[in-house]
Amino acid sequence: MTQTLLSINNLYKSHAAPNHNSAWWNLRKTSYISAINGLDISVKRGETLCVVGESGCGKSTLARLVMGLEKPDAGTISYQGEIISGLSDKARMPYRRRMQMVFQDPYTALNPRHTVLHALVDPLLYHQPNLHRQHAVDQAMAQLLAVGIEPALAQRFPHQLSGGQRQRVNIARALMVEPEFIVADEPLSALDVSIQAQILNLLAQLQSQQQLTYLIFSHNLAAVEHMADRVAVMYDGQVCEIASREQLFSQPQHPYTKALLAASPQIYTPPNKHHRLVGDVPNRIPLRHVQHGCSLQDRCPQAFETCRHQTPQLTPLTAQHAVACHHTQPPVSQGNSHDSEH
Amino acid sequence: MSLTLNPPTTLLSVRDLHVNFTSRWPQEPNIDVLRGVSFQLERGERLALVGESGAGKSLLATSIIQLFDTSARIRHGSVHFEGQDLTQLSSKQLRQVRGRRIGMVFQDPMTNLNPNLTLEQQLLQCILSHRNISRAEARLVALHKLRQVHIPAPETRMRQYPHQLSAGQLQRVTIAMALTLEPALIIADEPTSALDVTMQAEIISLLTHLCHNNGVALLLISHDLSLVAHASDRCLIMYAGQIVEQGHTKSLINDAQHPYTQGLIRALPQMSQPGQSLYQIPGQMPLAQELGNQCAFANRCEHAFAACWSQPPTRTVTLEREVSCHLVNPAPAPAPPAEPEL
Repeated sequence: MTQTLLSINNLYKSHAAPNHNSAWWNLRKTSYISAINGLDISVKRGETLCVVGESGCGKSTLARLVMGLEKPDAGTISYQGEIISGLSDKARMPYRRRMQMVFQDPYTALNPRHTVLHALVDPLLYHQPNLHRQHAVDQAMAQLLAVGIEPALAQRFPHQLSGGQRQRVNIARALMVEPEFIVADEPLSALDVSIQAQILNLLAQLQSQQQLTYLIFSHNLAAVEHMADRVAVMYDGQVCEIASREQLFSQPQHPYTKALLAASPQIYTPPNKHHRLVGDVPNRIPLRHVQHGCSLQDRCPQAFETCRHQTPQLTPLTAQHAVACHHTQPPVSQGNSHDSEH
Repeated sequence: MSLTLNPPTTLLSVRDLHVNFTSRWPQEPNIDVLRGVSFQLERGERLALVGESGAGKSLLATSIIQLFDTSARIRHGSVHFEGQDLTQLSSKQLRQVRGRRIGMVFQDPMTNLNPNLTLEQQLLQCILSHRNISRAEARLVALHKLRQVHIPAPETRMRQYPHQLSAGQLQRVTIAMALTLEPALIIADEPTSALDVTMQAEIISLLTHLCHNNGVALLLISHDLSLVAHASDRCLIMYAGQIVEQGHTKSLINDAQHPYTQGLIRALPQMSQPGQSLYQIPGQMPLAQELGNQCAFANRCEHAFAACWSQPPTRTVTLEREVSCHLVNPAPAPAPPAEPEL
C-alpha cells in the first residue's frame, strides 16, 4: 500500500491552439494553450486515486500523458522509480503491458468491425506473439466471465451490445494483458445511473480480486466519493487540493472543491448556492504569458489581493491533505512570486 | 379516465398515447414503443420525466410536437395542448405550435446550433419566422433574452459563431432561443448531460427560474433522479414505454412505491456507504418486441410474483400518486415498505 507506483513531477504540456486568423503572415505564430501547468501527483500501489475537475482542466490530457499517448513538454512521469515519459515506443512496450486504459466513450472505443472476441484477443497476441490462438481465446472467455458478460456474446459486434455491456467489454479488454495499473478516463459519464452502479461494483470487485491500482478521472463526485481512496481536485492543469476521501468530502478547504461539492446534485438535500462559481475555466493563450496569481481568481468568491499577485503553492495541511489556496495558509513572502514564472 | 377533459389550468394533457415505428419489412408487425402514456401538465408547472436510456423519454418529448423520425407514427391517443389536439393538426398548423407555443432545448448545444451561422442569424431566424416584427425589433428581443440567461457582453457574442462559445454558454443561448417567442411550455431533453457538474447545476437553476418567472411550464427530461429532485414539482418515472409511477417529486423520492423507482434511488452512489458495493437493478430493460402480456419490469423485479408474469399491472390512482404495479393494490393495506431491504 505504501509503495509509490506512479509519480508525476512538475509536468507541463501545451497544445497548439487552432488559429482562426490563419492568414499567411500569421502562420508561423502558433499560439499555445497550456493544458498541464506544473502538476505533481503520485499514485500508491493498490489504491484508487480519483482526479476530479471540470472539462478543460486537463484531465484527459493527463490521462494520455500517463499512458504515453502524448509526450510532455517538461517534467517527468516515472513508474516504479523509472522514468517512462521520454521513452521511445519500443522501450515503452513492457510498460504498456503493465498499464492499460479504459476510455470514456464505450461506443467509440471499440472497433465497430471487430467482434468482442477479436477486440479481446488482439492486445494479448500483440504482447505475446508466440501465444497459441486457442489459449488467447480461452483467456478472453475467462475474462468475459470475470466482467459479467455471457460467453455467448463473444461473437457479437459492438453495435449489438448495450452501453453497459460495451463498457464491460472495454474493461475486459484492458485487463486482458494482466496489467497492474488501470487508467480510466471518465468511465461512467456515458452511462445511465443504473448502469453506473453496475460498473462501479465491477471495478471494485476486480480491484480486490486482482490487486489493481486505479487512476480514475471523473467529474461525477457521487461516484468518486463511493470508490476513491484519495481524491485530487484539478483546476487549470494543476492540483489545487488532494486529500483522502474522508477529509476531502468532510472538510473541503479549497473554494473550487467546495464549489464542485455544492454543484453535485444530491437527492435529499437541496443544492447549496453559497459556493457557486461563475464563468468558465480560463484558456491561457499563449503559454508564456502566464497570468499572475491564482488561476481561480476570476471565479473565486473569496479572492483577495494576494490571490492576484501570488500563485498559491500546494502546501500540506496534514499528512493526508494538501491545498493550494491563500486562504488556508499565510501568504508567502515576496521571493516566491517570481518562482512561478520560470 | 376522467370526464373533465381540459380543466382551465391544464396546459398539456397526453392521453393513452401509443407510438410505433413502421417496420422495414412489411411482414413484421409494428410494435408500440410508447405503450399508453397518460399525464397532465398544469400551466407554469415543472414536470420531470425520468428513466433509463431506451425507456422512450425522448420519443415521448418529440411525440408531443411530432418532431420525430418519419418512420414513427402516433397509433392511438391524443395530445391536448391549449385546447387543441396536436395529433389532429396539419403540418402547417403544427409549425405554428412548435417553437412558438412549445419551445425545445436539446441535449447537445454543439450539434443543435448551426455552425455556419452566427448566433444573431439563428436567433433572428427563430424570431422572424414566427413574429411579424422588424429586424431591429427582433434584435432587441434577442438581446434582452441573452441578458436574461446571463450571457456576458451579448452584443459581441451575437456576432460570433457557435464554436467560439463554451458548451455552457451555448446551452444558455439555446435556452434564450427557446424563450424568445414566449412559449407556454418548454421541453428540455437532457439539457445538461453534455455539460460539467458546475455548469449542470447552473443551467438547471437558470432554466427553472426563468420558467418560473415567465410563467412557462417545463418538461424536464433526465436520467438522473438526483438532478431533478430539487428542480421539479412533479415527476414521471418512465420504464419500457410506460409511465410506471408519477407524483409530487418530494413525496415520490421519500416514499417510492414502484420497485423500479426504489431501484433508481437505491442505485445512486450517495445512497450507500463508501467502499460497500452499490445496489444495482439486475438485468436489462426488455426490448419492445420482447414484451408479452406481463409487467415490463417483472424480469428485473425482486418482488415479482405470479400475477406479474401473467398480466400487465393496471394504473392505481391514489391521492396525488399513480403507480402501475401489482404490489400496490388500493384495497389491501400497503405492503411494500417492509420488503425492500433484501
